[in-house]
Amino acid sequence: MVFSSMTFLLLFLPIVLLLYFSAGALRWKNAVLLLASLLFYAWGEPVCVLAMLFSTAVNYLCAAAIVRTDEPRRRKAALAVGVGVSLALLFYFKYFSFALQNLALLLPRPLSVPQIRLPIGISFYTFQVLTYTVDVYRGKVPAQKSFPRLLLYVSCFPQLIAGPIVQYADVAEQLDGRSTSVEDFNEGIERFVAGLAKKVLLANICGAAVEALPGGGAASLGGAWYHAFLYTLQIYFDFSAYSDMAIGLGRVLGFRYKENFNYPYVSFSATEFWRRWHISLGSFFRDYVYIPLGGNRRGAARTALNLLVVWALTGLWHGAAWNFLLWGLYFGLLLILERFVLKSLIEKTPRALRWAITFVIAVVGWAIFYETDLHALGVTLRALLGYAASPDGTRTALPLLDETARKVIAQYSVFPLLAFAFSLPLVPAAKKALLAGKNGERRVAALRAVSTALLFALSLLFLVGQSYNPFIYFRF
Amino acid sequence: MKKYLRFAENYILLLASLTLGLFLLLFAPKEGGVSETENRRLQSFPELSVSALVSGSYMDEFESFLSDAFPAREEMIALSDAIKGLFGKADAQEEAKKLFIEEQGLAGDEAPENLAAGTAAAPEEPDAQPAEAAAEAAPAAEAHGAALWQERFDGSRVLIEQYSPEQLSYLAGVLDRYRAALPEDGNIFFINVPASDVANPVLDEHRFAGWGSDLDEALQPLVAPGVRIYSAPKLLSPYENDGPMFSKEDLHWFVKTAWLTSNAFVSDLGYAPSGFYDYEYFLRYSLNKGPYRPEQLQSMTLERENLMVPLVLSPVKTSLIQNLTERKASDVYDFTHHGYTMYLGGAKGPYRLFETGFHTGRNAMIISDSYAFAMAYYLFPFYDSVLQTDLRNTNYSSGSVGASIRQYMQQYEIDDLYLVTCHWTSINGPVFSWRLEQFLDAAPQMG
Repeated sequence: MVFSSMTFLLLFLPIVLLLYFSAGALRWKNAVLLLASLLFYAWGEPVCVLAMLFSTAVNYLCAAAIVRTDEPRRRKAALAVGVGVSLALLFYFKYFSFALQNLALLLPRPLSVPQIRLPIGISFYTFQVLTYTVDVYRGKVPAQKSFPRLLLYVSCFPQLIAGPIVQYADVAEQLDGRSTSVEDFNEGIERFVAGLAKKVLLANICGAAVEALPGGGAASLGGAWYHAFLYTLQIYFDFSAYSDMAIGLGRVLGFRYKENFNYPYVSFSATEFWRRWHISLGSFFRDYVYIPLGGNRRGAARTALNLLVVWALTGLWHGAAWNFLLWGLYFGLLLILERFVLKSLIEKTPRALRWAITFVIAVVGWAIFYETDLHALGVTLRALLGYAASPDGTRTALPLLDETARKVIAQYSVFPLLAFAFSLPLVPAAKKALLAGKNGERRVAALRAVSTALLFALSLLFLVGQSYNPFIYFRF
Repeated sequence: MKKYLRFAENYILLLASLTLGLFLLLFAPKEGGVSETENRRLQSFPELSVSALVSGSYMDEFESFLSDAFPAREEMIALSDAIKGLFGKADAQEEAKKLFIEEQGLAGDEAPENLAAGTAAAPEEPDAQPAEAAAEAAPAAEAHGAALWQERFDGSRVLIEQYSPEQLSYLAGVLDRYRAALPEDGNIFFINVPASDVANPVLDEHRFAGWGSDLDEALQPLVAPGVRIYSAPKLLSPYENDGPMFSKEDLHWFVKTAWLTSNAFVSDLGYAPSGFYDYEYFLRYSLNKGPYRPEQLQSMTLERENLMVPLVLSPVKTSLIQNLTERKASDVYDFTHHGYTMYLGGAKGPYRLFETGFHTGRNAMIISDSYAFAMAYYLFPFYDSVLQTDLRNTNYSSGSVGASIRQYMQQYEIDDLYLVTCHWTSINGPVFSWRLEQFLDAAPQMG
């Protein structure tokens, strides 16, 4: 089920919240939430819900086995089974076809490649359940005695299918005891509505503009850059909107999820960009891959290697295609350069220029991310440099703008600019300014009341005519 | 106190949502009507079955029902379009029309001097000429190879596209290589059709006296026997008064126009053309929001003239759409992929092998953009199988593509080849001609 769907907004969410708050004791609340979460997932994945149940059950048993013994070998074996089964499931559903396709290129005879349907959210819930088993092994958290509670942690519908990746240690206590204040309810609903509006009013319209420029806009220099710029906005609003909605719903239900985005497009370096983008994924790789590999404690060369490994994995986590690996390595190399080579140069560069360079780095990164086919990616990257290559290798300069790009720019002119403005921290700045003025709190409260109702109504209005609006990050 | 007011507001928001949802569930008409705005049937309340639940189609249809049954839906769509218009994203149709009128110089009383500036010479042309030069060249197109144009009432021309002798020579060479790959009695049919933004002002709106293309005259002498070049303006103009021929919603032609074109092709082979109503159209329900459901389409057979071409990727009863590598039915129009472009056997998008049910001993291949989608069925009576592909998008998976066009031609024993594109898929740029040449002998490589 999609948050920005009529089924969710008009039926599922209000009914679940009514039942949840009528449930009384926490165990009943948890029961309502667990059943709702399973229904939420099964509504979109009626069969693949079994994969999630299986993965959770295996990790539940492995964690129980880890705490039952003090013998290191047995503990390690239980950990290996839990981690291995989870990663094997992820590999099978997400990477098996890709691996076979590439293997087929090396074989003299054709290889039959099965088309395997990717269960929604498998990358997210796999990582979540791994944090549980690994943290139990590390002794950071006690093993969860109740399977339904562990299943609730994995399947809790606000963050189930597109994150943020909630580490078990962050919510372990909340599973066993939490409450929702009036303030939580208000903040949560308002955050949810803000996320919904970002998705429906900004991301979807940027997405329509992206689709209106076929072939990555590669028929002209301006088309290619405009396409990449639009996609940069679309993916930010799409994903951060989902995180907003997830965090908001979590808060309504008494969970405190960590922030997942912090205005990444105001960053002054690639390193800062990744501190602000998909924070929960960065935290996961830091805590469960980078630091176990040795982090930065084994010299510069090893640190660089660790960073490359982490970023290659980050890229592949996003999808089974070479462009994702390239995209990960692109950022990995940039981070290494910033860390070891360009640090002093960056510090001397004027801030405006640093921001502009970082934004262009992000835009080019998203252009790489967008094209899953390497040939098309080559066309796109050449177009970003202003030329096309014919099959015989001849280079041809591209026009500044082609007819399609001109039409798309004319048709989608203000919305992307509006979206760009909202990608900057204007709302917090405006709120701060209002609060500093006379009757600030009253004004902010009035604005918040009006904007929540208005944004919800506008979102519904736009949703009525949009029959298809999936979240980009669902496919990961 | 303030926080309780906020709570009350948010609580009311939730209750109002639930009330609306329950109202839709309980009182909205269960039978879907017709949306005049979107020119489509609205979703009726889905029937519950185990197979629908397991496949997920019940959930999709339920969501569509809630959206389609929304009170004052048409007005809400109009309002959202109006709001989008305020912020620069006007309704696509209106915007396209406005842009088109401006380009054609019809927005004001006087036509501007350089009418071709907006539409001449596709941008991806390797040797595109400046628009001014193209406009001047319009009346003497033969000196520059060939052209496609609209004709004003004063006899002057608006140049839409032009092709240099070098470009035509290159294309002719490519076509000849394809001809050589076919059997001795094989044929190639080639047509480049002006899209609706060029055709409608002539045929429907009569804002121009006529249109023309001398591509056939310029290209035909350059190609080998068996390669047949057609001019869409010449072919379609005689039917100008038989009702609309191109969509007003998008760039496509109507099924009827595709039928007329296919009839011209097969007539030249000496065959009796198909009847327009020989086939009953229906669309497979696509997993991801296919435009029509089978039960809706059953009542829509008479409206086929008005269906947009991408939406008539429909099999007729004698056809079967197959995935070439897995030999199973393929979704007709799968929005999860990058549009509907495809390569033979490619993994992205539907690619088609139509087994026609006829037994003629001949097979055909169609290399096209979406303009041939509505045309393929009318070729069925003349072939055992029809293989269809699209070269526009390179989102192919080399692992499943596996082979070059020549290899597919050999494997499926192709006799005749149909090359059908609209002028937006410019025949003189990388999108069509280059890939046509490149993919003949090499499967697309992914680097």
